Amino acid sequence: MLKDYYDIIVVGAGPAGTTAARYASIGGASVLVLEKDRDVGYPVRCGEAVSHEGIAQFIKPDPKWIATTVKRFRLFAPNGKQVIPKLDGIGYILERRIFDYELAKIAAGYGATIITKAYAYDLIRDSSGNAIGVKALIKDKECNINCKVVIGADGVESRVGRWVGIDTVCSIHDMESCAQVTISGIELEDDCLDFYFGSNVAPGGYLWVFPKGKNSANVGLGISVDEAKKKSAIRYLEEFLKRTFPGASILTQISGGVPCARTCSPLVKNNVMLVGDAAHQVNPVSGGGITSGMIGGMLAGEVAAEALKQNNLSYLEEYERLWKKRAGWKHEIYYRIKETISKFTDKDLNRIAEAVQTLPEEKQTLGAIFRSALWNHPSLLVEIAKIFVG
Amino acid sequence: MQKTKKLMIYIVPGKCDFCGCCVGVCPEDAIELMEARISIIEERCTNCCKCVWACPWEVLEFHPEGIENLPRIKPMYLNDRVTE
Repeated sequence: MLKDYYDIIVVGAGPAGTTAARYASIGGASVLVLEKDRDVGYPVRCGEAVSHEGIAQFIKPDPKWIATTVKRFRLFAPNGKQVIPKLDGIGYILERRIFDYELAKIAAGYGATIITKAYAYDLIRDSSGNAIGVKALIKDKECNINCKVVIGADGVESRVGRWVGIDTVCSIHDMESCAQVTISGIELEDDCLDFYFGSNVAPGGYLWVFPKGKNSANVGLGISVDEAKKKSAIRYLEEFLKRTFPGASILTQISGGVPCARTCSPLVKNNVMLVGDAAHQVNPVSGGGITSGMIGGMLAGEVAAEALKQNNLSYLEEYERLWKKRAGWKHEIYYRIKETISKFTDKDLNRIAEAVQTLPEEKQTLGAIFRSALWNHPSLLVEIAKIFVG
Repeated sequence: MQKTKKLMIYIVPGKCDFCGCCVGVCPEDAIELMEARISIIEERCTNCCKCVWACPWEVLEFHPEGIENLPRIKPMYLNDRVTE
Protein backbone atom coordinates (compact mmCIF):
# COMPACT_ATOMS: atom_id res chain seq x y z
CA MET A 1 0.00 0.00 0.00
CA LEU A 2 1.19 3.44 -0.92
CA LYS A 3 1.78 5.68 2.09
CA ASP A 4 1.45 9.44 2.10
CA TYR A 5 4.97 9.98 3.43
CA TYR A 6 8.43 8.56 2.71
CA ASP A 7 11.76 10.02 3.84
CA ILE A 8 13.03 10.02 0.27
CA ILE A 9 11.26 9.89 -3.07
CA VAL A 10 13.36 8.83 -6.06
CA VAL A 11 12.00 9.76 -9.48
CA GLY A 12 13.09 7.15 -12.03
CA ALA A 13 13.96 3.45 -11.66
CA GLY A 14 16.99 3.18 -13.92
CA PRO A 15 20.35 2.04 -12.51
CA ALA A 16 21.06 5.44 -10.89
CA GLY A 17 17.64 5.66 -9.24
CA THR A 18 17.49 2.14 -7.88
CA THR A 19 21.10 2.38 -6.67
CA ALA A 20 20.22 5.59 -4.82
CA ALA A 21 17.19 3.79 -3.35
CA ARG A 22 19.31 0.83 -2.31
CA TYR A 23 21.95 2.85 -0.44
CA ALA A 24 19.40 5.20 1.12
CA SER A 25 17.49 2.16 2.39
CA ILE A 26 20.66 0.60 3.76
CA GLY A 27 21.22 3.93 5.56
CA GLY A 28 17.89 3.53 7.31
CA ALA A 29 15.63 5.83 5.26
CA SER A 30 12.17 4.92 4.00
CA VAL A 31 12.29 5.20 0.22
CA LEU A 32 9.74 5.34 -2.59
CA VAL A 33 10.80 5.00 -6.24
CA LEU A 34 8.43 6.31 -8.92
CA GLU A 35 8.90 4.91 -12.43
CA LYS A 36 6.86 6.50 -15.22
CA ASP A 37 6.94 3.44 -17.46
CA ARG A 38 4.96 0.32 -16.71
CA ASP A 39 8.10 -1.81 -16.53
CA VAL A 40 11.43 -1.42 -14.83
CA GLY A 41 14.18 -1.98 -17.41
CA TYR A 42 12.03 -1.56 -20.50
CA PRO A 43 12.18 0.03 -23.01
CA VAL A 44 15.97 -0.22 -23.12
CA ARG A 45 17.71 2.97 -24.23
CA CYS A 46 21.32 1.93 -24.20
CA GLY A 47 24.22 0.38 -26.13
CA GLU A 48 24.55 -1.90 -23.07
CA ALA A 49 28.36 -2.02 -22.81
CA VAL A 50 30.05 -1.82 -19.39
CA SER A 51 33.46 -2.69 -18.00
CA HIS A 52 33.80 -5.50 -15.48
CA GLU A 53 35.52 -3.27 -12.94
CA GLY A 54 32.85 -0.60 -13.28
CA ILE A 55 29.93 -2.90 -12.64
CA ALA A 56 31.44 -5.39 -10.19
CA GLN A 57 31.66 -2.77 -7.43
CA PHE A 58 27.85 -2.82 -7.29
CA ILE A 59 26.70 -6.26 -8.32
CA LYS A 60 28.25 -9.66 -8.87
CA PRO A 61 28.34 -10.36 -12.63
CA ASP A 62 25.66 -12.90 -13.42
CA PRO A 63 25.17 -14.76 -16.73
CA LYS A 64 21.44 -14.07 -16.60
CA TRP A 65 22.02 -10.38 -17.45
CA ILE A 66 25.22 -10.71 -19.46
CA ALA A 67 24.62 -11.24 -23.17
CA THR A 68 28.29 -11.39 -24.11
CA THR A 69 31.69 -11.05 -22.51
CA VAL A 70 34.07 -8.95 -24.60
CA LYS A 71 37.84 -9.09 -24.43
CA ARG A 72 39.00 -6.64 -27.09
CA PHE A 73 37.91 -3.80 -29.25
CA ARG A 74 38.60 -2.44 -32.69
CA LEU A 75 38.62 1.16 -33.77
CA PHE A 76 37.91 1.93 -37.42
CA ALA A 77 39.33 5.17 -38.80
CA PRO A 78 37.36 7.00 -41.51
CA ASN A 79 39.52 5.40 -44.22
CA GLY A 80 38.70 1.92 -42.89
CA LYS A 81 42.09 1.33 -41.21
CA GLN A 82 41.70 -0.67 -38.02
CA VAL A 83 43.45 -0.22 -34.73
CA ILE A 84 43.08 -3.03 -32.23
CA PRO A 85 44.34 -1.73 -28.91
CA LYS A 86 45.40 -4.12 -26.19
CA LEU A 87 43.06 -4.09 -23.22
CA ASP A 88 43.54 -5.04 -19.63
CA GLY A 89 40.20 -6.05 -18.14
CA ILE A 90 37.09 -7.43 -19.77
CA GLY A 91 33.75 -5.93 -20.55
CA TYR A 92 30.16 -7.06 -20.83
CA ILE A 93 27.25 -6.42 -23.10
CA LEU A 94 24.29 -6.39 -20.77
CA GLU A 95 20.70 -7.42 -21.11
CA ARG A 96 19.54 -4.17 -19.59
CA ARG A 97 15.95 -5.24 -19.12
CA ILE A 98 17.12 -8.02 -16.81
CA PHE A 99 19.98 -6.03 -15.29
CA ASP A 100 17.75 -3.09 -14.30
CA TYR A 101 15.25 -5.53 -12.85
CA GLU A 102 17.97 -7.10 -10.68
CA LEU A 103 19.06 -3.70 -9.38
CA ALA A 104 15.45 -2.86 -8.55
CA LYS A 105 15.08 -6.19 -6.74
CA ILE A 106 18.16 -5.44 -4.66
CA ALA A 107 16.73 -2.03 -3.67
CA ALA A 108 13.38 -3.62 -2.84
CA GLY A 109 15.21 -6.25 -0.83
CA TYR A 110 16.59 -3.52 1.41
CA GLY A 111 13.10 -2.17 1.95
CA ALA A 112 12.57 0.41 -0.81
CA THR A 113 9.10 0.62 -2.34
CA ILE A 114 9.08 0.75 -6.13
CA ILE A 115 6.02 1.53 -8.19
CA THR A 116 5.67 1.70 -11.95
CA LYS A 117 3.33 3.65 -14.19
CA ALA A 118 3.90 6.50 -11.77
CA TYR A 119 4.54 9.79 -13.51
CA ALA A 120 5.91 12.60 -11.33
CA TYR A 121 4.76 15.91 -12.77
CA ASP A 122 5.61 18.45 -10.10
CA LEU A 123 6.98 19.00 -6.60
CA ILE A 124 5.18 19.98 -3.45
CA ARG A 125 7.09 22.93 -1.99
CA ASP A 126 7.14 24.77 1.32
CA SER A 127 7.05 28.57 1.53
CA SER A 128 10.80 28.86 0.97
CA GLY A 129 10.67 26.77 -2.19
CA ASN A 130 12.10 23.59 -0.68
CA ALA A 131 10.75 20.31 -2.00
CA ILE A 132 8.59 18.57 0.60
CA GLY A 133 6.90 16.09 -1.69
CA VAL A 134 6.03 14.99 -5.19
CA LYS A 135 2.85 15.27 -7.22
CA ALA A 136 2.39 12.21 -9.35
CA LEU A 137 -0.06 10.51 -11.61
CA ILE A 138 0.00 6.95 -10.33
CA LYS A 139 -1.86 4.43 -12.44
CA ASP A 140 -3.97 7.32 -13.74
CA LYS A 141 -4.76 8.68 -10.28
CA GLU A 142 -3.42 12.00 -8.99
CA CYS A 143 -1.45 11.58 -5.77
CA ASN A 144 0.43 13.93 -3.47
CA ILE A 145 3.15 12.18 -1.51
CA ASN A 146 5.25 13.95 1.09
CA CYS A 147 8.94 13.46 1.76
CA LYS A 148 12.01 15.23 3.04
CA VAL A 149 14.33 14.64 0.07
CA VAL A 150 13.65 14.17 -3.64
CA ILE A 151 16.25 12.38 -5.77
CA GLY A 152 15.82 13.14 -9.47
CA ALA A 153 16.95 10.08 -11.44
CA ASP A 154 14.65 10.87 -14.33
CA GLY A 155 17.12 10.48 -17.13
CA VAL A 156 18.03 12.59 -20.12
CA GLU A 157 14.48 13.99 -20.14
CA SER A 158 14.89 15.16 -16.54
CA ARG A 159 12.52 17.81 -15.33
CA VAL A 160 12.88 17.35 -11.57
CA GLY A 161 15.97 19.58 -11.44
CA ARG A 162 14.27 22.29 -13.48
CA TRP A 163 11.47 22.44 -10.94
CA VAL A 164 13.89 23.87 -8.36
CA GLY A 165 15.78 25.97 -10.88
CA ILE A 166 18.79 23.70 -11.53
CA ASP A 167 19.85 24.12 -15.12
CA THR A 168 19.67 20.60 -16.56
CA VAL A 169 19.19 21.66 -20.17
CA CYS A 170 21.84 20.05 -22.34
CA SER A 171 23.33 22.22 -25.07
CA ILE A 172 22.76 20.97 -28.60
CA HIS A 173 26.52 20.76 -28.97
CA ASP A 174 26.80 18.30 -26.08
CA MET A 175 23.64 16.27 -26.65
CA GLU A 176 24.26 13.14 -28.69
CA SER A 177 21.26 12.19 -30.78
CA CYS A 178 21.27 8.39 -30.93
CA ALA A 179 19.60 5.62 -32.88
CA GLN A 180 20.16 1.91 -32.41
CA VAL A 181 18.91 -1.36 -33.76
CA THR A 182 19.38 -4.85 -32.42
CA ILE A 183 19.94 -7.02 -35.46
CA SER A 184 20.13 -10.74 -35.94
CA GLY A 185 21.02 -13.18 -38.69
CA ILE A 186 24.53 -11.80 -39.07
CA GLU A 187 27.99 -13.19 -38.48
CA LEU A 188 30.45 -11.44 -36.24
CA GLU A 189 33.24 -11.94 -33.77
CA ASP A 190 31.42 -12.13 -30.50
CA ASP A 191 34.26 -11.12 -28.19
CA CYS A 192 34.95 -7.76 -29.79
CA LEU A 193 33.48 -4.26 -29.59
CA ASP A 194 33.70 -2.30 -32.84
CA PHE A 195 33.78 1.50 -33.02
CA TYR A 196 33.60 3.44 -36.26
CA PHE A 197 34.62 7.07 -36.60
CA GLY A 198 34.32 9.66 -39.34
CA SER A 199 32.19 12.41 -40.74
CA ASN A 200 30.36 10.03 -43.08
CA VAL A 201 29.58 7.50 -40.37
CA ALA A 202 28.82 9.50 -37.22
CA PRO A 203 29.93 13.16 -37.24
CA GLY A 204 30.69 14.46 -33.77
CA GLY A 205 30.24 11.01 -32.26
CA TYR A 206 30.81 7.37 -33.18
CA LEU A 207 29.04 4.27 -34.38
CA TRP A 208 29.15 1.07 -32.36
CA VAL A 209 28.65 -2.60 -33.10
CA PHE A 210 28.31 -4.48 -29.82
CA PRO A 211 27.80 -8.25 -30.10
CA LYS A 212 24.95 -9.94 -28.30
CA GLY A 213 25.85 -13.55 -28.85
CA LYS A 214 27.29 -14.98 -32.05
CA ASN A 215 24.78 -13.76 -34.59
CA SER A 216 23.17 -10.74 -33.02
CA ALA A 217 24.37 -7.22 -32.18
CA ASN A 218 23.42 -3.76 -31.03
CA VAL A 219 24.31 -1.45 -33.89
CA GLY A 220 23.89 2.18 -33.04
CA LEU A 221 25.35 5.62 -33.31
CA GLY A 222 25.34 8.96 -31.64
CA ILE A 223 25.93 12.26 -33.37
CA SER A 224 26.15 15.74 -31.94
CA VAL A 225 22.88 17.64 -32.40
CA ASP A 226 25.06 20.31 -34.05
CA GLU A 227 25.42 17.77 -36.84
CA ALA A 228 21.97 16.20 -36.52
CA LYS A 229 20.59 19.58 -37.59
CA LYS A 230 21.78 18.77 -41.09
CA LYS A 231 21.01 15.04 -41.16
CA SER A 232 19.36 12.93 -38.49
CA ALA A 233 20.84 9.96 -36.63
CA ILE A 234 18.45 7.44 -38.15
CA ARG A 235 19.62 8.34 -41.69
CA TYR A 236 23.26 7.68 -40.82
CA LEU A 237 22.27 4.40 -39.21
CA GLU A 238 20.20 3.26 -42.17
CA GLU A 239 23.10 3.99 -44.52
CA PHE A 240 25.55 2.03 -42.37
CA LEU A 241 23.20 -0.96 -42.09
CA LYS A 242 22.69 -1.01 -45.84
CA ARG A 243 26.45 -0.99 -46.45
CA THR A 244 27.53 -3.33 -43.67
CA PHE A 245 24.66 -5.63 -42.72
CA PRO A 246 22.32 -5.81 -45.70
CA GLY A 247 19.56 -8.33 -45.14
CA ALA A 248 19.91 -8.47 -41.36
CA SER A 249 16.70 -8.80 -39.37
CA ILE A 250 15.94 -5.86 -37.13
CA LEU A 251 14.56 -7.07 -33.81
CA THR A 252 14.44 -3.77 -31.96
CA GLN A 253 14.76 -0.18 -33.03
CA ILE A 254 15.22 2.56 -30.47
CA SER A 255 16.21 6.18 -30.21
CA GLY A 256 17.79 8.10 -27.37
CA GLY A 257 19.72 11.10 -26.20
CA VAL A 258 23.01 11.07 -24.29
CA PRO A 259 24.08 14.25 -22.48
CA CYS A 260 27.86 14.20 -23.13
CA ALA A 261 28.29 17.32 -21.06
CA ARG A 262 29.89 18.48 -17.85
CA THR A 263 28.11 17.28 -14.70
CA CYS A 264 25.26 19.62 -13.75
CA SER A 265 26.01 22.09 -11.00
CA PRO A 266 24.65 22.49 -8.44
CA LEU A 267 23.73 18.84 -7.93
CA VAL A 268 21.69 19.69 -4.84
CA LYS A 269 19.16 22.46 -4.33
CA ASN A 270 16.06 22.91 -2.18
CA ASN A 271 16.21 19.30 -0.93
CA VAL A 272 16.45 17.96 -4.48
CA MET A 273 19.45 15.86 -5.54
CA LEU A 274 20.18 14.81 -9.12
CA VAL A 275 21.79 11.52 -10.17
CA GLY A 276 22.61 9.69 -13.40
CA ASP A 277 21.76 11.10 -16.83
CA ALA A 278 19.54 13.66 -15.10
CA ALA A 279 22.73 15.09 -13.57
CA HIS A 280 24.69 14.57 -16.81
CA GLN A 281 26.83 11.99 -14.98
CA VAL A 282 27.94 10.51 -18.27
CA ASN A 283 31.49 9.94 -19.48
CA PRO A 284 31.57 12.66 -22.14
CA VAL A 285 34.01 10.78 -24.38
CA SER A 286 32.37 7.35 -24.43
CA GLY A 287 28.81 8.39 -23.61
CA GLY A 288 28.77 5.57 -21.05
CA GLY A 289 26.56 6.35 -18.10
CA ILE A 290 25.65 3.13 -16.30
CA THR A 291 28.57 2.91 -13.90
CA SER A 292 28.89 6.65 -13.30
CA GLY A 293 25.14 6.95 -12.77
CA MET A 294 25.35 4.16 -10.18
CA ILE A 295 28.25 5.91 -8.45
CA GLY A 296 26.14 9.09 -8.34
CA GLY A 297 23.16 7.10 -7.06
CA MET A 298 25.19 5.42 -4.34
CA LEU A 299 26.71 8.68 -3.11
CA ALA A 300 23.38 10.53 -3.19
CA GLY A 301 21.57 7.68 -1.40
CA GLU A 302 24.20 7.46 1.33
CA VAL A 303 24.37 11.21 1.85
CA ALA A 304 20.58 11.59 1.92
CA ALA A 305 20.23 8.84 4.54
CA GLU A 306 22.98 10.41 6.62
CA ALA A 307 21.40 13.88 6.37
CA LEU A 308 18.11 12.45 7.62
CA LYS A 309 19.86 10.64 10.45
CA GLN A 310 21.51 13.90 11.50
CA ASN A 311 18.25 15.75 10.92
CA ASN A 312 20.34 18.25 8.97
CA LEU A 313 19.34 18.70 5.34
CA SER A 314 22.17 21.12 4.65
CA TYR A 315 24.38 18.02 4.79
CA LEU A 316 22.86 17.02 1.39
CA GLU A 317 25.37 19.33 -0.26
CA GLU A 318 28.13 16.95 0.74
CA TYR A 319 26.96 14.82 -2.20
CA GLU A 320 28.32 17.22 -4.81
CA ARG A 321 31.72 17.32 -3.09
CA LEU A 322 31.86 13.51 -2.92
CA TRP A 323 30.82 13.16 -6.57
CA LYS A 324 33.60 15.50 -7.69
CA LYS A 325 36.15 13.63 -5.60
CA ARG A 326 35.05 10.18 -6.76
CA ALA A 327 34.30 10.66 -10.47
CA GLY A 328 33.51 14.28 -11.32
CA TRP A 329 37.15 15.31 -11.68
CA LYS A 330 37.68 12.57 -14.26
CA HIS A 331 34.58 13.62 -16.17
CA GLU A 332 35.96 17.14 -16.28
CA ILE A 333 39.13 15.84 -17.96
CA TYR A 334 37.13 13.62 -20.33
CA TYR A 335 34.99 16.58 -21.28
CA ARG A 336 38.07 18.56 -22.32
CA ILE A 337 39.36 15.58 -24.27
CA LYS A 338 35.99 15.28 -26.00
CA GLU A 339 36.04 18.93 -26.93
CA THR A 340 39.42 18.50 -28.61
CA ILE A 341 38.57 15.20 -30.30
CA SER A 342 35.36 16.68 -31.67
CA LYS A 343 37.48 19.11 -33.67
CA PHE A 344 39.50 16.32 -35.30
CA THR A 345 38.96 16.02 -39.03
CA ASP A 346 38.78 12.68 -40.84
CA LYS A 347 42.37 13.29 -41.94
CA ASP A 348 43.49 13.72 -38.32
CA LEU A 349 41.79 10.47 -37.33
CA ASN A 350 43.34 8.59 -40.25
CA ARG A 351 46.76 9.94 -39.35
CA ILE A 352 46.41 8.85 -35.73
CA ALA A 353 45.35 5.34 -36.80
CA GLU A 354 48.29 5.09 -39.21
CA ALA A 355 50.77 6.27 -36.58
CA VAL A 356 49.54 3.66 -34.11
CA GLN A 357 49.64 0.91 -36.76
CA THR A 358 53.37 1.44 -37.25
CA LEU A 359 53.94 0.34 -33.66
CA PRO A 360 54.57 -3.33 -32.82
CA GLU A 361 51.29 -5.02 -32.00
CA GLU A 362 51.90 -5.34 -28.26
CA LYS A 363 52.50 -1.59 -28.08
CA GLN A 364 49.19 -0.69 -29.73
CA THR A 365 47.43 0.43 -26.58
CA LEU A 366 44.91 3.11 -25.74
CA GLY A 367 47.84 5.05 -24.31
CA ALA A 368 49.62 4.87 -27.67
CA ILE A 369 46.52 6.15 -29.46
CA PHE A 370 46.33 8.97 -26.97
CA ARG A 371 50.04 9.81 -27.38
CA SER A 372 49.62 9.84 -31.12
CA ALA A 373 46.62 12.14 -30.79
CA LEU A 374 48.69 14.41 -28.57
CA TRP A 375 51.53 14.41 -31.07
CA ASN A 376 49.15 15.59 -33.75
CA HIS A 377 47.25 17.94 -31.46
CA PRO A 378 49.41 19.35 -28.69
CA SER A 379 46.45 21.56 -27.74
CA LEU A 380 44.89 18.44 -26.22
CA LEU A 381 47.54 18.56 -23.52
CA VAL A 382 46.89 22.23 -22.86
CA GLU A 383 43.19 21.49 -22.36
CA ILE A 384 43.95 18.71 -19.90
CA ALA A 385 46.59 20.80 -18.11
CA LYS A 386 44.01 23.56 -17.58
CA ILE A 387 42.05 21.37 -15.22
CA PHE A 388 44.96 21.11 -12.82
CA VAL A 389 45.56 24.83 -12.72
CA GLY A 390 41.90 25.61 -12.31
CA MET B 1 13.93 34.10 -26.60
CA GLN B 2 10.73 36.00 -27.33
CA LYS B 3 7.55 33.95 -27.16
CA THR B 4 5.92 34.03 -30.56
CA LYS B 5 2.18 33.56 -30.93
CA LYS B 6 1.82 30.62 -33.21
CA LEU B 7 3.02 27.12 -32.37
CA MET B 8 5.13 25.85 -35.25
CA ILE B 9 6.58 22.66 -33.82
CA TYR B 10 4.71 19.54 -34.81
CA ILE B 11 4.97 16.05 -33.37
CA VAL B 12 4.06 13.58 -36.08
CA PRO B 13 1.47 11.28 -34.47
CA GLY B 14 2.37 7.64 -34.02
CA LYS B 15 6.04 8.05 -34.85
CA CYS B 16 7.59 8.87 -31.46
CA ASP B 17 9.71 6.37 -29.50
CA PHE B 18 9.38 8.49 -26.30
CA CYS B 19 13.15 8.60 -25.77
CA GLY B 20 13.28 12.12 -24.30
CA CYS B 21 16.18 13.47 -26.34
CA CYS B 22 14.01 16.47 -27.30
CA VAL B 23 13.09 17.15 -23.66
CA GLY B 24 16.77 17.17 -22.71
CA VAL B 25 17.57 20.06 -25.07
CA CYS B 26 14.35 22.07 -24.60
CA PRO B 27 15.33 25.35 -22.92
CA GLU B 28 11.73 26.17 -21.98
CA ASP B 29 10.58 22.95 -20.28
CA ALA B 30 7.90 22.95 -22.97
CA ILE B 31 7.67 19.24 -23.71
CA GLU B 32 5.64 16.85 -21.59
CA LEU B 33 6.74 13.26 -21.93
CA MET B 34 4.83 10.46 -20.27
CA GLU B 35 5.19 6.73 -20.80
CA ALA B 36 3.74 6.75 -24.29
CA ARG B 37 2.36 10.22 -24.68
CA ILE B 38 4.25 13.29 -25.78
CA SER B 39 3.00 16.83 -26.28
CA ILE B 40 4.21 20.38 -26.53
CA ILE B 41 3.13 22.92 -23.93
CA GLU B 42 2.12 25.67 -26.29
CA GLU B 43 2.25 28.42 -23.68
CA ARG B 44 5.98 27.83 -23.20
CA CYS B 45 7.26 26.85 -26.63
CA THR B 46 9.25 29.55 -28.45
CA ASN B 47 9.62 27.57 -31.69
CA CYS B 48 13.41 27.51 -31.22
CA CYS B 49 13.59 24.18 -33.07
CA LYS B 50 16.23 22.53 -30.84
CA CYS B 51 13.88 19.57 -30.32
CA VAL B 52 13.45 19.24 -34.08
CA TRP B 53 17.21 19.02 -34.58
CA ALA B 54 17.75 16.67 -31.63
CA CYS B 55 15.14 14.07 -32.56
CA PRO B 56 16.98 10.97 -33.80
CA TRP B 57 13.95 9.83 -35.81
CA GLU B 58 12.60 13.04 -37.37
CA VAL B 59 9.44 12.83 -35.30
CA LEU B 60 9.37 16.59 -34.70
CA GLU B 61 8.85 18.99 -37.57
CA PHE B 62 8.99 22.74 -38.00
CA HIS B 63 5.94 24.23 -39.75
CA PRO B 64 6.43 28.01 -40.14
CA GLU B 65 2.81 28.40 -41.21
CA GLY B 66 1.65 27.11 -37.82
CA ILE B 67 0.16 23.76 -36.85
CA GLU B 68 -3.33 24.68 -35.69
CA ASN B 69 -4.95 22.68 -38.47
CA LEU B 70 -2.92 19.52 -37.87
CA PRO B 71 -4.18 16.69 -35.64
CA ARG B 72 -2.30 16.55 -32.35
CA ILE B 73 -2.27 15.48 -28.72
CA LYS B 74 -2.65 18.21 -26.11
CA PRO B 75 -0.64 18.17 -22.85
CA MET B 76 -2.44 16.89 -19.74
CA TYR B 77 -0.59 18.21 -16.75
CA LEU B 78 1.00 21.60 -16.46
CA ASN B 79 3.45 21.78 -13.63
CA ASP B 80 3.95 25.13 -11.91
CA ARG B 81 7.06 26.82 -13.12
CA VAL B 82 9.55 28.16 -10.62
CA THR B 83 11.96 29.90 -12.92
CA GLU B 84 10.50 32.41 -15.28
